[in-house]
Amino acid sequence: MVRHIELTCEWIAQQNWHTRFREYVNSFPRFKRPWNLLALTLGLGFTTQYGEYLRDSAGDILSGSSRQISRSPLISDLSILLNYPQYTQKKMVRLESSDGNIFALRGTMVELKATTMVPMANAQIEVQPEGQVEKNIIKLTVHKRRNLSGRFQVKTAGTYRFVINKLDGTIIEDSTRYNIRLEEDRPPQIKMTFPTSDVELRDPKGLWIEWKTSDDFGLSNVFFQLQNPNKPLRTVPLTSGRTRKELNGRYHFNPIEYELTAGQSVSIYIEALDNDRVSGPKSAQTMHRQITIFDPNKTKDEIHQTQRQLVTQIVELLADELVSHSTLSQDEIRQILNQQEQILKKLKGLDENISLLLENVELIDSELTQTLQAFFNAQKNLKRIENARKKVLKNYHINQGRGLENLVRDQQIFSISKLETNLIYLEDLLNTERVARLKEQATSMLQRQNDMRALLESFTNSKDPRTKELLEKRMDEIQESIVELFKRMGELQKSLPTEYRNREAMKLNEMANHFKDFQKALQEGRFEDAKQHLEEIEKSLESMVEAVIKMHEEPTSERYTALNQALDTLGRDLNDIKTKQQNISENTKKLLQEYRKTALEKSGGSEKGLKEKLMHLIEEVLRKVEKSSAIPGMNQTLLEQLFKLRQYTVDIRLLVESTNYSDALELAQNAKGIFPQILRHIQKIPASRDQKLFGKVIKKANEKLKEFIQLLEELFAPPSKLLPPKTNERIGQSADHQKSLGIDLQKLRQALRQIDQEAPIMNDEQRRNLEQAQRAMNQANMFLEQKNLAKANRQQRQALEHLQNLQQKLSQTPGQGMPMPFAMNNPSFGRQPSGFNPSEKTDVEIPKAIQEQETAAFRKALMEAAKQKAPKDYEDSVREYYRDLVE
Amino acid sequence: MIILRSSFICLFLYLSSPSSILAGSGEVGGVFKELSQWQLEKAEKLAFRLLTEKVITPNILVATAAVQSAQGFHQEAYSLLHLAQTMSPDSELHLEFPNIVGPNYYAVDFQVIESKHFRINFIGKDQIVAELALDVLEKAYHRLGNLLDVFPAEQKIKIAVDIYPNPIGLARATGLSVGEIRASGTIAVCKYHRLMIISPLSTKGGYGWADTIVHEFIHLLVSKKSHNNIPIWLHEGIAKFFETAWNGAPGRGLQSYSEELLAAAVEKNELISFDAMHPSMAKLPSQESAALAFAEVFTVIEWLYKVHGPQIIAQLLTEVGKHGDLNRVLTELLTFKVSGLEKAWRKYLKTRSFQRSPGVQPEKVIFQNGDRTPQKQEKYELKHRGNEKYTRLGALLEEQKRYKAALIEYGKAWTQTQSRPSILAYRYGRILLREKRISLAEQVIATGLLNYPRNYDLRMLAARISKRRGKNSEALKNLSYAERQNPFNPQIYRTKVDIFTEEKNKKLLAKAKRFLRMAESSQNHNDFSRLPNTAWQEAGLLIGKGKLKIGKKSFRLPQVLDLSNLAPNERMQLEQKAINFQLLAEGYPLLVYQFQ
Repeated sequence: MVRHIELTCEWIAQQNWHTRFREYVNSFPRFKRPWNLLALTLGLGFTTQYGEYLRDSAGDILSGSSRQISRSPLISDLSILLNYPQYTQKKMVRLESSDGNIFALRGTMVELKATTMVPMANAQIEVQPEGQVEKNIIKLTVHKRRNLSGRFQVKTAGTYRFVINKLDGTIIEDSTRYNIRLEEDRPPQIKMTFPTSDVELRDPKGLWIEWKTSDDFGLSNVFFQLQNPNKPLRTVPLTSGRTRKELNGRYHFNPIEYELTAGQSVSIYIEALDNDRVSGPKSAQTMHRQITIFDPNKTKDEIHQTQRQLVTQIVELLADELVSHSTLSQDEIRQILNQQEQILKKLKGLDENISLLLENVELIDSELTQTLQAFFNAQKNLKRIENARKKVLKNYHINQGRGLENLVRDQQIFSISKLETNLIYLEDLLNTERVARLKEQATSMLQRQNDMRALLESFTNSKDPRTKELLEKRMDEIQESIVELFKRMGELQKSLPTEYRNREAMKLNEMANHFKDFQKALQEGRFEDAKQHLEEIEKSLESMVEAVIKMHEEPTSERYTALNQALDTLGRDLNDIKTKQQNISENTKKLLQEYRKTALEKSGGSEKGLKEKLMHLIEEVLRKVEKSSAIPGMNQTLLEQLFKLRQYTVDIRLLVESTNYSDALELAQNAKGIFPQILRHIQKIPASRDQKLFGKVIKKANEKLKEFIQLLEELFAPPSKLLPPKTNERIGQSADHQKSLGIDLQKLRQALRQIDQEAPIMNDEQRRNLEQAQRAMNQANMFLEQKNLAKANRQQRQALEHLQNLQQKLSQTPGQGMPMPFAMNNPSFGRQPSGFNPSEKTDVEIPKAIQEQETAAFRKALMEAAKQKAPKDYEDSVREYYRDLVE
Repeated sequence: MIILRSSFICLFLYLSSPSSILAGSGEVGGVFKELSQWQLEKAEKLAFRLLTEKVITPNILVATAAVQSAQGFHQEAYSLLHLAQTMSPDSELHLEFPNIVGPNYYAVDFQVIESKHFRINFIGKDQIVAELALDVLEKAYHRLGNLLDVFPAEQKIKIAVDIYPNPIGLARATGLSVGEIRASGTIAVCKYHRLMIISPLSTKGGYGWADTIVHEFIHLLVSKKSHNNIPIWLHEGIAKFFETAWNGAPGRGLQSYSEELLAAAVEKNELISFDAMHPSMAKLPSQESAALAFAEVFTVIEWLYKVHGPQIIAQLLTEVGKHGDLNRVLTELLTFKVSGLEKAWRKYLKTRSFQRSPGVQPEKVIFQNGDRTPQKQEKYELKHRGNEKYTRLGALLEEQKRYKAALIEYGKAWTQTQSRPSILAYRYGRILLREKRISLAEQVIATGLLNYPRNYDLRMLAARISKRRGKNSEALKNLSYAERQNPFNPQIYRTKVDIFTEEKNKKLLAKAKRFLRMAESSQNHNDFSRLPNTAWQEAGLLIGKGKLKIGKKSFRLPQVLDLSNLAPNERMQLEQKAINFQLLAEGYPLLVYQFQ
């Protein structure tokens, strides 16, 4: 063997390898291409180092210089078995008659089997990892001199080739290099499905974070990660050990668990790891989301800032108006016009800004809501100014500028007065807010002072340096808070210039001195002195805050308390008017019932007989209408008319059933009006048998309805004829009461208008309610005078409803109430006196009847209910509902 | 004697002897008795005699300390008191004599300035007040001395004045609590034969310190002259009536607010009786009734002065000082008693003409500690007024620098009602000046000053307008008013510098420049928690009168000194100068030196 190797070496030394190589290359046309040649050259240079478990530790058994490269393929019947890593859960793949190239995941065990063209003594494969010089030698097992087998694990991409040792000792390298390509194990994919953007967390309970993740082979872990600046990363596992390819989940993020306080911001994300145990798990992260814990104070600050800006804008507007007003002259008319247009622009801008403020505020406390309500009222007032201004400018253009001076002057007087009132009121409200917040801040500050006192006490006893350190730290914190407190006080103190004031007398100075003395006393161990200074700080703070609060609260509250008292009185008056209206309405209702009863009695017939007759007639009408509906050839309009008629008929039947004849009469008279329309439409459709039949049926229905109406009209004569003089007298009295009540309401409106001049507390809705109540009362009075009890009663109930609405709107908080700066008590205007139960309404109300009365669906639902013999209460409701409609 | 100045109303609360504890004990009691009758000179003589002729006891030391304290020699008084305490360790003299201990928290920092009749203790920037006060007090000394026929500093004992930097100082010096001082708004006290005031520096805009200090001085004169035997209402009436006499005629101190109150009370016949003012005017139910009471007693003196001649008050005080019975003196001098006086005075009021100013508000002192801030004052003044709305609107516009518009709103406020608060006059005037409408500004300020003649802001504005118009003397007059309110405003001295430069008045220019430097300097915070050092290694009691000079050092006698602080040659000089020397004081080992 040794001899053989020696001979081989000699032979190799004698060879002209350069020529031989060229000859060899030329024998393979494909290698003529330069890049192929390059590849080959590179391939020749590679070494292998992989295939660890098969690697011959003794080294290359076929090493030596007597190697030949086979001219023809050395290997045939190559079969490859790919045994994938377990974590992938992929089944093994056998590749019979393989081309030798391997495409597998890292860690895949490759088993090779092949047959050689020549008999061999032993064999190996040389694996050349990509980008490395050294190659790995994997010893193969040789069976029956021609079969070889072996296995290696794929760890990196590269190439491999077979090398055999022939029986004569010749070492032949397979000319073919096989590729090893790595199949990619991709990292997981992950997405946070909620939240999809940064969040300001308002719910103190937290929020659900939702996520979706997937991986090509499997996920090992999912984590919730929270990064709080300057703190270690917090990680929460979100999955159990089970491996899945896809996972959806959600995690409840509770800020309390992470000790997050208002205003703090943290970054959160979800991280997923795959189950790659060969190369190590790969991870993926969702987008990072910033979560900021809602800070109500900050929000309030922002809102307050906006409000402040709005007030500033109103001040600017007022200034413009005042200055423009004062310089008004004929000579400057063009300039005035310009100014007016500028003011209009500002007004529009202000209106938009107020709207924005009202829209943007979502989570605010009632106190703020009240102030916003005031801004809302102010907005309405400004709108009125704006409209008036527009009118002036329009008139100017129409009149070609004539009389502009007077127009503008009048408009400005109106505008200035409104702006002045609104401004003072809004400013007072803002101050109310500021004071409330100052109080909050001061309370928390004094609490801290108390804690500090306890610390000082503890330090006095223990002399523990840590306590001292803590004390000093607290002192710093308190100093910071004091600065904040001063800021708040600064907001309240106006910065108008004054003459020189002694700086030495400033509270801040005194406080700073106490701080200095406190620290000095603490350093020198004079604890009693330290305590005293601490007390002085506390006292100073208290007295300052108290002084500032008093400064604003006292005069403002006195001013508004007077208004409040006026409102209280008006509130009582309103309640009184409402109660009286209720009584008058009740009285009218009784009179109406009496009238109906009398009418029935006067008709002579028994009620039962009358009812049967009426029922018979209306059912006849209904039958005819339904019959006509079934006739073919009708157009859409006719169908609609018929449906309407059917609705009326059903309703009338319902009213007759419930013995409400007067309403039935009213409704029947309305229904009668539909017949001529139907008949006109019938004539328009092409003449046919159906058309004739249709006309005939409808005419009959009309006749029956007329008969029905006639019967009822005979029953009802005017109250003056039907009722005894005494009852007629009572109706007259009722009319007088109604009139006097209308006057009372008028007075109340005037008083409210006056209050509105001082504090713009009324909004349009409230004004509207007042106006409508007034109108309904006047109408009721008119109908009572005409002895039309039914209509009068309806108006009365409407008036009552408006009064109730008004009362409710005025007393509702938050939002709809009347914000009153520093009022000692909130105005009780509109509040129900004790003992009054709003549910004790005498009117029968149909839920949402007002809002839905026009909707067909609702009417249909009512009719269906009527058909199905509705419960008694429901019938009453329906009856009342229709009474409202027809009376 | 405590003088409360709230809304420039002075109340006479009570008059107590310096020490009731030792008042009755023999000759020592005599010292306190004299002190209680404001006869400091007699008390001093008696104390000196006791100290030099008797065995030195703690009681004698305390009495001597009280006399030293009354003269404003606080450290000396404290050393004597401390020695007394050391000699009788079971006693609690420090607690019993807070009025002697209290000023010593400041005594180490006190600087002194003296005139012929006054000696003022002050700290730092208060030198401005002290210098101005000396001038005011010397004027008052002569004018009021002549009017009331009493010159209290003619026996080589000067009237001591202490200016305390804060209310705590006044509290410590008077034995009142800080709470009481803050709640009542006390700013000045005349007690223990001393005048004590809180520095205007501790108030934001100052206060009428000049009239206040004169007012206190009159209390001292009255107490001294009457041997403290007249009722409080008369005391206050005299002080109030004569407080303006230092720079003009007496009887000019009735403020518009008080006059309005009085006029209304006369109209409604709702005057407060003299009985109701006794024993203390502080017990009147409200500030308003206190103000009314002051106005009443002012007019009592006015009536006496006008009807019975300027000399009547001096006569009355002299006689009461002699006899101690006011009714007797009244009967002798005027043929009626107090009740008759009240009747006659009521009759006078019905004929007196009043300058009415409905709606006028009291002028207020704005204190440092938890009292009303200037803004508070404004709001209070504006409360319930027709012009409030427009004044506020003006302020809002002014804040936005919309001066023209603000002017319109202030103008509305001004014309809305006749009762115009000082703040409105000031703001309106200032903005008129800004808009160069000087004539109108002048009118507005003049109207404001009619009702609020001492208003600091209005005076400053008036001075500015006068200066702009070239009326220097008028400007100086207004600046003087302002100075007597808040002398720390550097602007006062800047304007004066301008004027005196213009007038080439070198002397006054130099003074104005000096004051300007002081006003512009910052007052460093002092820690007033230290008492003088009494850890003596070798205590020596120095007895004598006046000052003792040892080398370059000077010692006010009597006092206790730590002899170990003296250099050997100083010690030698001390011993050489002493005319007497002893080792024991009532069995207590002590070096006692007596000097001529």
